[in-house]
Amino acid sequence: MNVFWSKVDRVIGGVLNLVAFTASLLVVGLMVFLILARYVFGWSLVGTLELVMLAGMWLYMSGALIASRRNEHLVVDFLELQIRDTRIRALHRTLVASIVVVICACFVYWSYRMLSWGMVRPQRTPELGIPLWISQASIMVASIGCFCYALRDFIAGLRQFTGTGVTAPMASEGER
Amino acid sequence: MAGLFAVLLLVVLMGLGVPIAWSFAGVLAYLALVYDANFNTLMMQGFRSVDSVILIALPLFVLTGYLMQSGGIAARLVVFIETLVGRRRGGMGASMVLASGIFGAIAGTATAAVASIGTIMVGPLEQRGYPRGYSSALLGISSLLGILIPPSITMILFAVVTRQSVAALFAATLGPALLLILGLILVNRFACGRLFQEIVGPGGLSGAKPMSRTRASLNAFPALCLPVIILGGIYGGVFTPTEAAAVAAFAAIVIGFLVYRDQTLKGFYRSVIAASETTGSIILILLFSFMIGRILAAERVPQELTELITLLISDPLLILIAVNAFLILAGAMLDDVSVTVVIAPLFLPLMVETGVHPVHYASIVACSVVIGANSPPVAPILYMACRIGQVSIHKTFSPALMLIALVGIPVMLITTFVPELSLFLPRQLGFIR
Repeated sequence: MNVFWSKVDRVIGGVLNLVAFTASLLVVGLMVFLILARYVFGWSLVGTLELVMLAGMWLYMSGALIASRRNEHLVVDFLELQIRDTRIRALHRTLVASIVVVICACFVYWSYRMLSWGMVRPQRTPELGIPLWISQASIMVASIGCFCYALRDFIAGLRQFTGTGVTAPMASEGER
Repeated sequence: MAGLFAVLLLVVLMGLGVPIAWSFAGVLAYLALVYDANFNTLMMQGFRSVDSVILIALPLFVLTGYLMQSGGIAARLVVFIETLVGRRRGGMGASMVLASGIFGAIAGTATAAVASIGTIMVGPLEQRGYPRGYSSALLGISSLLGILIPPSITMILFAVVTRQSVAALFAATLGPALLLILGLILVNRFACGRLFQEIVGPGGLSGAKPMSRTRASLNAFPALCLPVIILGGIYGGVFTPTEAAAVAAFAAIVIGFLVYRDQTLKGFYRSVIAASETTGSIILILLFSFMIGRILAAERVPQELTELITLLISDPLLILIAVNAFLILAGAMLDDVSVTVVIAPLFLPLMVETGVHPVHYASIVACSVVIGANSPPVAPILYMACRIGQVSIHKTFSPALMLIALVGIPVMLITTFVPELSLFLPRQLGFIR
């Protein structure tokens, strides 16, 4: 089972990296193109900014998801560093993960409310007419993904605490 | 009362070790429950705030920082600075301060500066007699020049939250930055020979063979062009800050691949992914903090806070001291992003009522972040510097507190009580009246 989840994790990680990489290149490339178009060719391409914003939102949210996958969200680890006992550390990990699971569940609900509201009252960008839900969908995807990773951490913490299984190293750990 | 409890909840969640983004989301959930917020529109407002052209500068400057590290730009800057000041008394430490300053003038982040400059310099500094605890503390505080020297990501965030001109805030923090550089170099010079003995030898700081000034300057020339392009572009009216960030990232790619040829495809890929991860973490914090800010503003919490403080303290001088103290305390308990986007804007109405210009206040906030990010117990930048310097946090506390007391706090007080230090340049450039 661990091998299966490890493979799933690797595939998802690859997709996330690809999205983040593509979106980053798009943001840099389009912004530089926008400047060149204005100063070299004298074109005014306002619509390009809408594409930059779209790529930017997917860049933000895929980045947030990558941080969740690698457990590298910014954290104040003062308390964790003080805990020496492995069992207490596992208990602390489980407690934190359980709080994150609840919060991420709220995030999924909030994102769903936003997306469904956006669907009922569809909006488009002024220049290129890109539907806004394409950008908003990135938040929905990130919320679901973050919830899944929070659940993964909770189960791993619980297993470590109860001693029912040593936490299997995720594929992401080897990528750092 | 709910606002106070929200801050308390934030401190508790973060103290427990809940990731900062989720701590903010937890506080948002609490406030939404207390004030019965409508999430259809609240999330939409959060989305609109994040979906901003100014914020696109954030991933671009973060990416530039990572590319400077992987493309050999940071290393050449260090060698250049070393040839300029490295052989004087205290020159080794001064090199670290100045290299951090130039790095900050390109990338605008403290974390990238800690990783880049620290990795290159802490080891060789030890060979020159600098204790690791001291050099890590110096690295921690000097890396925060990235927050004061434009372009600064912290100032971009503050500008977005408080709706100020990014270019004006960039110009405002330049004076305090120069003071901090001067203070750190002087204190470091004083520390050499008193706290430790500096060993002066022929080898270079970067561990490489010593290089002539001309050669080092020629090598660093493309890297040194970057701050000129960024700042000249912004203040010359050529680029917006976001466009300048894109030019910086693009130039870092070109310099890394084609000029220095230190950049590899693998290194480039890793830098892009790492930058997106860092950006993603910050953006989630922003998304939730924007929504928290909306609720607090709708419930008039900043106005109530202003009324309460002006009722308790009437002297504007005392109000300024109290806000300074609170910001430092908040910085010691929370991270720099939280202080910049949630705590500091709460006091903006109070500051305006006291007669402090919002641009001046931004400068005060930036100084408080410099101190807070190095103040225990949270001290995120100091912890990172310790990790890079491979030294126990306990060994850095004492030198860090010394640098904060002798440099950080005096710079913050001067910035607070001499408004012209922050307002002169924005005024001359025509950003404020």
